[in-house]
Amino acid sequence: METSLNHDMDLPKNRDELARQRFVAGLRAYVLTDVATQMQQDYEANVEPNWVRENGEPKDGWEVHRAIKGTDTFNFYSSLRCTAQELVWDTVMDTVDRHSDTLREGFERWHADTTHAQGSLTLNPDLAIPNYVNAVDVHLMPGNYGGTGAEIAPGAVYDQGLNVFAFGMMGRRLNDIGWSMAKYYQARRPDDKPKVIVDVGCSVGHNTLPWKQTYPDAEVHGIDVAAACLRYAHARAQAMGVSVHFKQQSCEKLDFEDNSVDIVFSSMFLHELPKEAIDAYMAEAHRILKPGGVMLNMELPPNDSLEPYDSFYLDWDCYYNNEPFYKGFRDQDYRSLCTDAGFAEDAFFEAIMPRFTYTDEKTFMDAVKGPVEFDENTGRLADSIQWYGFGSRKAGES
Amino acid sequence: MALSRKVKGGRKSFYSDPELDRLLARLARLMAEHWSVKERLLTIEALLKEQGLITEEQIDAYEPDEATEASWNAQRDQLIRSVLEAGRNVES
Repeated sequence: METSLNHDMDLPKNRDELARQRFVAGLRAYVLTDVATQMQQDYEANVEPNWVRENGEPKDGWEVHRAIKGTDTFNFYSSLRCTAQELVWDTVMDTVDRHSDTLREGFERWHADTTHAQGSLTLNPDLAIPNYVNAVDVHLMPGNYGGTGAEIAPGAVYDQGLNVFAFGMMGRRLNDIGWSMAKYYQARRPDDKPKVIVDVGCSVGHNTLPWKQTYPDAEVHGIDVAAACLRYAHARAQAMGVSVHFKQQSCEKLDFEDNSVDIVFSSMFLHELPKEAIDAYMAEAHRILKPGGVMLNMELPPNDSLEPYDSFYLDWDCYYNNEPFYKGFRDQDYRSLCTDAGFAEDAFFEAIMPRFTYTDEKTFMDAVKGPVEFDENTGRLADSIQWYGFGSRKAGES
Repeated sequence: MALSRKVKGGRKSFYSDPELDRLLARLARLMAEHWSVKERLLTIEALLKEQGLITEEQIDAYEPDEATEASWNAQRDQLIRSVLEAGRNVES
């Protein structure tokens, strides 16, 4: 993990806090590599042959889950992974609790300071938070993305926690996904000069800012329902000197004019939504995009693109990490989601890429121009991870 | 006011007895505490050694005064609480 979040809204950790957080990052790396490998080896050597004798080849991740559930290696992996996940939040909350005044002062200071950046924050206290957002604490994060008060701490917990969670895999400012997707777009459409870019479900804005940094002349908006995350996102962006407009809106009703946006982006967002909300979001994306505009969603790969074991491995989070819509989303046909929202069938595209901030530019550019090939590294958090994205282009000329 | 550490929706247990999941959670928390102490100790020893201020013999012979001992006791009690409360979200 990074010792610092590399921006001014970071909180000073004392040595004990830092040591605990480093330990948890190490524990997660151990669980997701060593223990995960043991579990897969046990599956291939013992669990799968038994299942095949009784039932034939496992058809999908669901059957792998049924076969492996209750085995010693599954229990150890799962219990330890849940524990590591709880410790992610537990250990960073010590730091956030100790600095609640610093956080509030940091927000006030950066909100008032318009010399570094000219972003904005627009909250809507009347916005009803959908039940699918707050029914459970997603990712086992106590307090979820925050309640209805004037709080900011949940944003800090999320940012600090993501740093431990990512164990150094998601970029110095946890923004590799944003950089990778923006650079992918730029590589594929070098002549585009997008004027308006909207990141939907932006949380603390870590993947929003790279769009502004890639396209400095564009107006970039970050949308979320969680006020605490948006407050933090706004202060973080201002502190980093990147002008982004954060707005509290629901993805199901985006407050933008028809045909007014060049790029609608989301990252690691759709898998937290029920199908109805995904449909509503896609319809809104289609409505607000200009003719020729592009919707790009960074996501986990669809289940039908992966081997049954790899499907099971990713869907683990649905069953055990309080992400109830995760598998339901990954079982969808992503092309149909787009076409049902009004995008043309042949405008659908998929993208798989290495991490931009860990790769030299030429390797990255060659990769994003190459064919889309799924493997066990697609979406799986490890050194060899490849990000996946899909989307579509609205009919008409820009 | 301190942030609540309670997870809405709970977390699943995996072993036939959820107490085993709780124990594993406590063990992991204990390892985190152990590592934080170890890292601090390594830091202090490195600094003191660099400055030529201590020897192994002096560490073995040290006896805390009353106030120091009280502070150690309070910190030890906090360690016990944080370790043993770590299984709080495991469902039965």
